[in-house]
Amino acid sequence: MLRVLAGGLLCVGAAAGGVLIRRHYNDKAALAGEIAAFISALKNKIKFLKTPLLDATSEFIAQNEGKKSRFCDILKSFKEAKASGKPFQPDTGLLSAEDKTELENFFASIGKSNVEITVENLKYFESYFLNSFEKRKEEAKRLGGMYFKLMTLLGIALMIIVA
Amino acid sequence: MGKISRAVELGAVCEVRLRAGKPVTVMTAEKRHVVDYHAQKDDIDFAVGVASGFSIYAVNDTLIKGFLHFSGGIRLGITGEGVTDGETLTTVKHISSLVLRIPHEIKGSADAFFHKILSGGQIKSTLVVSPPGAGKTTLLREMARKASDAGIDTLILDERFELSGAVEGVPTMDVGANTDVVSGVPKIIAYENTIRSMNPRLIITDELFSAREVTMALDTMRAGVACFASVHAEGTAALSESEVFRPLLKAFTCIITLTGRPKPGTVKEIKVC
Repeated sequence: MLRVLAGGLLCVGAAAGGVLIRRHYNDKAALAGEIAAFISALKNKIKFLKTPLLDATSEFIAQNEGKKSRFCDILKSFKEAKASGKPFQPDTGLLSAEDKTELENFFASIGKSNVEITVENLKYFESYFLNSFEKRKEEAKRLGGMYFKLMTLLGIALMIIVA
Repeated sequence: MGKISRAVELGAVCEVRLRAGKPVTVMTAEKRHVVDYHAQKDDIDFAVGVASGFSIYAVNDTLIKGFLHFSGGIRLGITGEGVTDGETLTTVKHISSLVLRIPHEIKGSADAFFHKILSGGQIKSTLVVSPPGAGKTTLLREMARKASDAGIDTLILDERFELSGAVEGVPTMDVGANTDVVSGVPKIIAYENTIRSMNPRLIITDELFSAREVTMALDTMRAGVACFASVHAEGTAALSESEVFRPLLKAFTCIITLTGRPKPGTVKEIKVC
């Protein structure tokens, strides 16, 4: 009886590990999607209204109030750094090295030139992160699904062995 | 820097100058003070960042004219490295010097002579003449408040946000109960539309500088709208020597000359026709 219980626990544990791995891939994709959405909104606000950066940032944060959003946390830190005059380093733990570099470049360059150059830059970053979003989505579907299935199978195997 | 902040809060400071790597200087109405602190490029970048909302694109139109404005009518004059597209200035980068001009409201500064400008509901178009830093804008603001509070529908063309200190279109300084403000628009663009649409009895604008702006002021008066304006000059003699500015002396019925000595806002001469 004890063996069956231990086997069951191992199975559930392994499946939970699979869920966590799949969530990690989904979070990576969601973050890239949020960045692309923010850049797209910012591009339009700057192009048509010349909305100041911090106002556009606050609006985006307000629109996502109540949702779990890693990028909103990054934007909040960005606002705080600007207000205090301290250098800003985005918390990019989830991103790939390449995405991390691009996000740092985005924050370092935004707001430092005229409308035309700013909009051109934003088009580049928007395109980059949309592309990254598609890649991460596909990665989440492929790898996230695969790891979930593998972990679940591993759990079942462990349960059989132990029981 | 703490001392500067306190002095600004007390209303004593008129001007603060920051030059990268040089001592900060502070102007009060009485004298110039050199502060024992060398401004850093980071200080200048941060000041520009705060004034622009960290968005150069939002302020580029004024930046290429050499200034930024901040809430409360504070103006930042800037110098740096220009960026051109071969013909026109597109933006300014590497800003290395700043002058922060802090406006003041001096209520009562026009009391002694305002009856000569407005009496029996009749307004005399008035030109304020002085060299830079002698109190033209402060006096114009006070004249706007007095005329407006006397029931005159007043329109301020506040190209540089200094007269009204407008933030999001709303004046932060007391410019009277019957005053409308157009801010951030070149006066030669604003005046024609607003004369038609707002039907003011009085238009107020600061710093006539070019022949087109002089023509604008003359057109305003020709249209039957009174005008309060200011112009940079040592006095009326200097204006009369200029072909561009000479017509102003005939068109304005009151001319006030200010001097910065012994302190800004000192009235040197008032001519009423």
